Amino acid sequence: MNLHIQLAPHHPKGLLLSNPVMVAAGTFGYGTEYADFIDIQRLGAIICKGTTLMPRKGNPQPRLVETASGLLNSVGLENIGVEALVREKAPIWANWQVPVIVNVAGEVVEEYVGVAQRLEGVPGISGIEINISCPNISAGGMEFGISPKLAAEVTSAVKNISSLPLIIKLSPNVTDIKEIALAVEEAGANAISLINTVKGMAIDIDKRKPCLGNITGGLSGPAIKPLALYMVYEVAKVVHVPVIGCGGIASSRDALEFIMCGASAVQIGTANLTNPQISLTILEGIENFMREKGTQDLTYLVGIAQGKS
Amino acid sequence: MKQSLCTITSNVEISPGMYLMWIEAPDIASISHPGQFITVNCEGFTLRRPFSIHQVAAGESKESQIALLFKVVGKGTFWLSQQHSDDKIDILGPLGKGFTIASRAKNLLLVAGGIGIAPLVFLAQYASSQHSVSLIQGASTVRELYPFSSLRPRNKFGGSNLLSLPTGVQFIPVTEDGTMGRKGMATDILLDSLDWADQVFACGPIDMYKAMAITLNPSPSKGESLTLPSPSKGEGKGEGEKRSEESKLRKCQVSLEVRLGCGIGACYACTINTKKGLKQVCRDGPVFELDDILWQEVRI
Repeated sequence: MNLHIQLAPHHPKGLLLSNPVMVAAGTFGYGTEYADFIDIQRLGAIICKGTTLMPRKGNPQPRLVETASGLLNSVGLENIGVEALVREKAPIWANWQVPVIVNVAGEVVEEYVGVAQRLEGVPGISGIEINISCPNISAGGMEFGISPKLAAEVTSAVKNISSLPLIIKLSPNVTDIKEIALAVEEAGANAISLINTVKGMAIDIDKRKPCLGNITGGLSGPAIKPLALYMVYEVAKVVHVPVIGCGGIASSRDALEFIMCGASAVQIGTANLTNPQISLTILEGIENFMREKGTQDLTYLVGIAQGKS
Repeated sequence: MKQSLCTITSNVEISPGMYLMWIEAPDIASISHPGQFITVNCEGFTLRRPFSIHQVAAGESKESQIALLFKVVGKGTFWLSQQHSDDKIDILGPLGKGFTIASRAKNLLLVAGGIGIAPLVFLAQYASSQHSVSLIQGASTVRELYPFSSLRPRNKFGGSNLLSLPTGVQFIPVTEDGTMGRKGMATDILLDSLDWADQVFACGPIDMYKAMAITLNPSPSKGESLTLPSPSKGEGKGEGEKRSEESKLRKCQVSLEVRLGCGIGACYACTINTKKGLKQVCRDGPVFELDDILWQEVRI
């Protein structure tokens, strides 16, 4: 049985995953935090915490609210900054089998470029995921993800200076996600991941104010799965680069739905918080499904539900 | 740290709305330290619920069971209250950094606000053989106090698995309505015991900590003469070994409760700002020094 997936087929370095199960940025720290609970080396890839040029403090508490089948967060990209990442985390990753992809965020194009430049030639980093979809910062972030022009601008600016495979993570908070996907593909994205969280909020009726310190946050978890699935379906129809599905995946059935809609790989996010072992459980579920159905190669299932009714 | 599917051995409502649950969890029990916590995957909920480890107890050969003490305050705790013995629950732990007893401390003052007694009973149990322990619990009324079997031997909620006070532990109840012990708040009688105490450990609501922080530092200003007695390094800079009440509270350790995401320091949902920089409550805490927390910034 072959579960290998090439996420950057047209890139000189490529981005070959041993299986399609990745863990999503912001839910898995720098990978090391989970090493006590699961064999992280079995994952397809690890995407680390969104990283900016300078360390960020993030948003005021409270940063989390549980909602029906979901979770609102407004962490606000708290992170150690790219210098500390290169100094403290990358050397650990360099000894790992599992590829680590750095999620890169910023307020201006130059910041994305600056972070990507700092990651150039650093052992232990297999790719970059450009975060143009974080709804929790006041400047930058999602602003780039809601305009095809700006999205393309960030993509090509990073593409020009980086020798690493480039994934662009899209925001669902747009009118037509296909338009953004096509723009970043045209600008040089090697793969596209979607979706990031859906902007939302909650009110504490006893305190008569928003539950989150930041007022608004990003909704994730099973509540957004149908929405994410539809967007993956739409984007996979029109782009030619690999698509990575993300949004509310909590079981192998969920993951297979995304794969059949056209995702070459999936990212597990919020479900890691519910169950730190879930990503490997999902991987085993996919393997069992393929075994039961006699599917030899995972790529056979990618997009198999496209165009069928 | 370990994630395991554990068997509940008992779940008893020891007071109205307050439950004591024993769980067979040898991997967790044998390495747990007072002040650490576990998280429970409450079926159907996105976020795991954190609970202080309330007690550990020996099985056939070693510490093999842990107890949780919880009040039903929401959907997650309601779900947990409905679980029965022999049911399995998914537990992750022990997590976080617990209380630290200073090597030269003899008299320990434990201050609990309501259900905040949960980790302090474990601490009392752990420390009582080597230390003198006083445990203050403040509650709104007598029914909210921890029902030590010696205090309420035969109420209708009583069970065989209630804890008796460990030898050497003095229990000081305080109730807001005066139905048991002194009338008032736990913090009202705190000062009475500070002379006696070498170290203070607290667990309760944020407002209790804020009251303690004010006691400690009524008018915050720089250049105060209060300095912690430094471990005798013989540098002799004339900083007196002033063991004032304030310096004791400065060394007070408090257990914080915030909304947790992952519980293992990966998601940055529980970060607070402290005098020592940003800290994750789940990994760097939940126990912090009272004096390190920037209470004016705390909105949890």
